[in-house]
Amino acid sequence: MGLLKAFEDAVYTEKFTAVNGMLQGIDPRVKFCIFLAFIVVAVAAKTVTSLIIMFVVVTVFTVASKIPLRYFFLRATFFIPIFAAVIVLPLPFITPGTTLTMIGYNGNFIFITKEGVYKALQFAFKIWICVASLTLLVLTTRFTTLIHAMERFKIPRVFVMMTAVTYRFIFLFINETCRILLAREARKVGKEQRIQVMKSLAYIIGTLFIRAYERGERVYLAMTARAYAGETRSLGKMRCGARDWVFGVTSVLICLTVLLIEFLHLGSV
Amino acid sequence: MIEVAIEMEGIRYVYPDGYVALDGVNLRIMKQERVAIMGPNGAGKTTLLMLINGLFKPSKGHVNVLGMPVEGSNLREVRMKVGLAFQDPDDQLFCPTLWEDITFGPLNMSLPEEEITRRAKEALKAVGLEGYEEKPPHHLSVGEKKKAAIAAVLTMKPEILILDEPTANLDPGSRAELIELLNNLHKTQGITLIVATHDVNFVPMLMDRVYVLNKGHVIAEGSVRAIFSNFKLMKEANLEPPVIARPFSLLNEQDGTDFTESLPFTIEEALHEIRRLMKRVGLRNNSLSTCNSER
Repeated sequence: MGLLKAFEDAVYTEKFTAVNGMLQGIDPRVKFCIFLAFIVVAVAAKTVTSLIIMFVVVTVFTVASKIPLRYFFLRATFFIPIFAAVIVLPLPFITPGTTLTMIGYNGNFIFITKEGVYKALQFAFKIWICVASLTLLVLTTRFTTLIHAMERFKIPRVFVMMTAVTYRFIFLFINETCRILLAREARKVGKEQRIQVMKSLAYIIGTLFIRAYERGERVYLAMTARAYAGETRSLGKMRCGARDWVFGVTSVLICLTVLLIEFLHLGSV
Repeated sequence: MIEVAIEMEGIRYVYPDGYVALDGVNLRIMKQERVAIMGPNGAGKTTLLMLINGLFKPSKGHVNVLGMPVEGSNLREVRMKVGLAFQDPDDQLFCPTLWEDITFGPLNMSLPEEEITRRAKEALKAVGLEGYEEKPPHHLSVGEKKKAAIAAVLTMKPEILILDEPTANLDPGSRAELIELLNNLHKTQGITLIVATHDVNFVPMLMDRVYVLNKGHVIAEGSVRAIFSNFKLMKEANLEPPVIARPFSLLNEQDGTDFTESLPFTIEEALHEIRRLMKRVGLRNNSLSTCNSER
């Protein structure tokens, strides 16, 4: 349950969007594009030099946006294991190269290579920069604005709408799950056997599924009641000013520099 | 000029699983009337409301709203004239912020932008949620959510406002605010009000007429006074007379006084009755207020 609430906090963070920082004032469309470009460049980068440049840029942006660095680093690093562990963990073992150490028992050994460890760290660093870019985007942009930016980019309406609705109801279902778990806890006497725990977990998942389904039906009816006919519309315009241009052009230049370093093999491997 | 707002004739509604929710329902509601639909849980109240808005299609019979049959190409028009606020506001508020939720209806009506903004601001003011525009719905209290859901309907400027269990889950303060809001809407905009509820204390404060539903049938129809004075009927529909009426009805039974004529259902009516009684036993009319001022 604590985990669920922590998840809610992690997803729902709009406290920095109202801060008067650099990124907060940038047009969401520009931000969206730039951070997408950052991710592409970070994925394409092979040298540590490029990655360090990206790291510095992201850090500078964070400071300029008045986001506490500690908080930012924690948040950006928190998700790394989820994304990277599966790929990173085997790397030290399967990359050929100089042997660092070996683990084994009874004559069967696996080797950890220097190149493997290096590759794993580099990969994790790469992922970190991607996640950090996204984190920065999410921390400095209100979710609604992001949704509008998606709309302006002509991303299919259905997809945009689904994202918005998911975002809205995720909290509702977190709360619903918490309530179900609490209600179960309240009726629990003594220690349960594992099989019982499994069984009740299955019931909870089933109940949640049915509730979600019924909720979906009612939400659709409520939308229809308000003259919804399959088309979403939205209010408000977005304006792209000088500041956005400066930010956009600078960021593009950074991206190009990194790509140039890569292309000319200037960076250290 | 009195016009018919809603007319239902021989309505039968069967759910896909074969459950007969409504059978042989006839109903007629005039413009500017305030009508309560009462009845026990599972009586078919919500189904009835869904039929008025054309969300459900009757298996038999027909529904007319403001002279339009609720079907086919009329549906859009009907839904613009009939505002329906759901029982669970979480069903209705599905946008990331309140502002988007309350502009959802008028946006679907293709109104000009200034008009939408104006209406949304008006609606927020009417329900007392100014300054909540950017709040995400999951950060609102239940009372605020209910108000927000009503605001989301008000922005469509409906001629008929339908509320499903509006007082359910509300604390007394929010409940009183809601009653005031609905009273104001009726007074200032002459809105037709239809409320499904089993809050017996709420009905006499606000409504003109009552339909009592039980097991899919209309078992009674009449003025609030006529319905609430019929204790046998109330019991049959799993309802009770308002709390304030009880001591007076007990007085009737035990002391044989003649209250029956006007059994009080609201605080004001009760006060009036008490004053009348005091006058009869020889106490001065203003002695009550003297007591009040001394305290």
